[in-house]
Amino acid sequence: MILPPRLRKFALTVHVIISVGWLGAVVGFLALAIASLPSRDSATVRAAYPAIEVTVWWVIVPFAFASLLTGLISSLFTPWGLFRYWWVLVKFLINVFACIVLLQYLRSLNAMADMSGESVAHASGALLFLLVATVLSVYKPRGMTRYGWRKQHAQHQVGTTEAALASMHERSDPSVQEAAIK
Amino acid sequence: MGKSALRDTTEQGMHRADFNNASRVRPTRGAPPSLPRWVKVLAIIALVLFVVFLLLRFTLIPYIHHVSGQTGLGDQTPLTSVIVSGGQLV
Repeated sequence: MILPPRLRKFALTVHVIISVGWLGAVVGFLALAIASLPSRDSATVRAAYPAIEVTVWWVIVPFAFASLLTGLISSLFTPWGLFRYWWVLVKFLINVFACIVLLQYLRSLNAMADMSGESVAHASGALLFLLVATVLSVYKPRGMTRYGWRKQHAQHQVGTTEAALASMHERSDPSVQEAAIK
Repeated sequence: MGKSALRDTTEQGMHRADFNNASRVRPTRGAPPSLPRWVKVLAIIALVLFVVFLLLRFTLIPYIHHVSGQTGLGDQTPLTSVIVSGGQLV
């Protein structure tokens, strides 16, 4: 099923807003993680842990999964498809991988006292992945998957067959022939 | 109504143009397309990052645990502080 253009645009707008929010939240998380490094002021370090927890649970987790969901809607219900173009597929894999790593990170979030450096590593990695996804979205590098190629090939053949049938029908229809003569 | 219909048609046309321009869809016949170069580059970079991660995970982190155990820092000091703030090793 393909969404009408207005709904498609709306779905894309929601996806962009959520993904940008996710990226911004990760940047904020990185700043907090750096602030919580043990070499800093102890008051800042103590204040950073609850802030990290709130940011992760209330912003990053909802935005990450919402981005995955809206991305799926934007791809599956548009001509792009999910498995037809490499850039869509790579973005999808990045999103799934980021969500899995995020879930792993949540499990160890309680042991925060021992993982400030790990938080910086997580935030940096997430930022890198999200930047790659953003670049892919903007540039949309060429490249069709085998599945996409097969689909396009099949659609092209169906289109050609339909056109040929329509042409044959027009030729055999007397009313059309008369109209053509007139 | 005419204007609305015209706008709808224009939006559809713009979307189609965007789709065709962005994906640079060309009628492909014959052999299926090969893996694009940018995907190969990205896969190599991801593989390198994964190997680096594994190396850090299985060599550096146990070493830090070992060092922090020797210094008696134990659970009181974050392991990363040994690296970040240059904790006393001896």
